Amino acid sequence: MKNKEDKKTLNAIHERDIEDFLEKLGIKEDFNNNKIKCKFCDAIVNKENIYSLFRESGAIKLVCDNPKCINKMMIYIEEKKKKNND
Amino acid sequence: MLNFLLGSGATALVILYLLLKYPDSVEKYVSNIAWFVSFICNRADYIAIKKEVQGKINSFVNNLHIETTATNFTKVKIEWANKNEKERVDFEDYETIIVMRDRKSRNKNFTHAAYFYTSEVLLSRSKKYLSPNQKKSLDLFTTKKILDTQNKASIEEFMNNYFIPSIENQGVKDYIIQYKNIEEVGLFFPVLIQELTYLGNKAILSNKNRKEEIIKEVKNLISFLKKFAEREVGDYNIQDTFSGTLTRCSIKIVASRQSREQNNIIPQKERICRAVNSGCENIYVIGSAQKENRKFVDSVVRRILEEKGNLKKEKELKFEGQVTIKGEKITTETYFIHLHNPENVKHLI
Repeated sequence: MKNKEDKKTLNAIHERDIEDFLEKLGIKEDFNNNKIKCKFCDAIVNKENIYSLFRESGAIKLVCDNPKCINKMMIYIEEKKKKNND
Repeated sequence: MLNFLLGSGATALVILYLLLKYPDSVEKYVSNIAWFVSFICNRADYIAIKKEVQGKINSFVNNLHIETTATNFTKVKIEWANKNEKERVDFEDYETIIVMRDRKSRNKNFTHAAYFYTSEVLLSRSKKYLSPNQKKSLDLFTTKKILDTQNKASIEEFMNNYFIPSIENQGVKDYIIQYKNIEEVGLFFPVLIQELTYLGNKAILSNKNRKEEIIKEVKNLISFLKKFAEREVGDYNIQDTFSGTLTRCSIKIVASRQSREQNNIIPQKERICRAVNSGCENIYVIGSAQKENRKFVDSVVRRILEEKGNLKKEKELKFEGQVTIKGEKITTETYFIHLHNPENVKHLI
């Protein structure tokens, strides 16, 4: 999404706001109980290793900070966006 | 009282001037102050992170605008997803939110943001047509450049976690080696990134069959630039023109010492005009940045522009690059002029 100054907006969340944010998204309890796995590997995502989050068909997906998963996420998101644009 | 008002007015004017003239540098200074304040009030790190990422990435983008033409590279703006006034939980599918951490992870924050920026934003139009290895290698090489120039402290984190694991892929590694050679002579951003930007603007509505063709063309362009970068000074047999379906460019060296001393403008001018006549869209004129040579290059270019009214002088710059003399690499200042012929632009529709 580009804003009016023609800048790309990079959405960010501070680690100290994660719990509040996940509560609003309805997944705080699962997150705190270590029930959410990384979208791209089987690692449990917690406050220490969370890298990013995105929606997929409405559901919230979390990604851990393993560089392999970050790379996979970049490719995955790009392909999905491309498909949606097609 | 009057003195005080005049003083504060002047200060305000200076601050306003700096804000308008160098907004990205000002952001970097603000981030340093905010990081310092965050020792006392940890919530200052919201400002520190935001200003640091914006200031440094956007300074890099400003440098891209100095080194290239053709396109406005998009700048970046950080938006906190959970800040009271702009709270957003309704983000769209595949709209990504990245997690930033406190000052202990300052380098990690910047690495994540820079890599995210190059992957998502830089050359986004061109990358649609590139192979995964071409994309990946460009992202890695460009992110390294951002960190090298803006945040050296992040390099180790980036190299260990992203760069080194990624070059285990031989295809990515091969491209990176070629970029390194091209960068050493100073042509990575002014020519390669420039040409890829043009290519992204030209490859409109290309179907999948054409994608393969574009991937091959980019591979050949990179190989052409790499070979050119490795040329020995005085070797005029090396290919200096690249003719693809979408990319047609030529790099012309002006001039030999003999030509310059004899003020032999005509042969140099004709050599470049032949490249224009053969359909080249971009001509990159390069030579030594020594005063005498610069004057000579300017005279040649002036004569070309007089003769070819459709040709535009897009950019003129000086940069440090390496030249090879008898196998030895020597750092020298290069003078560079980019000439563009809009009449030779072909779109792929």
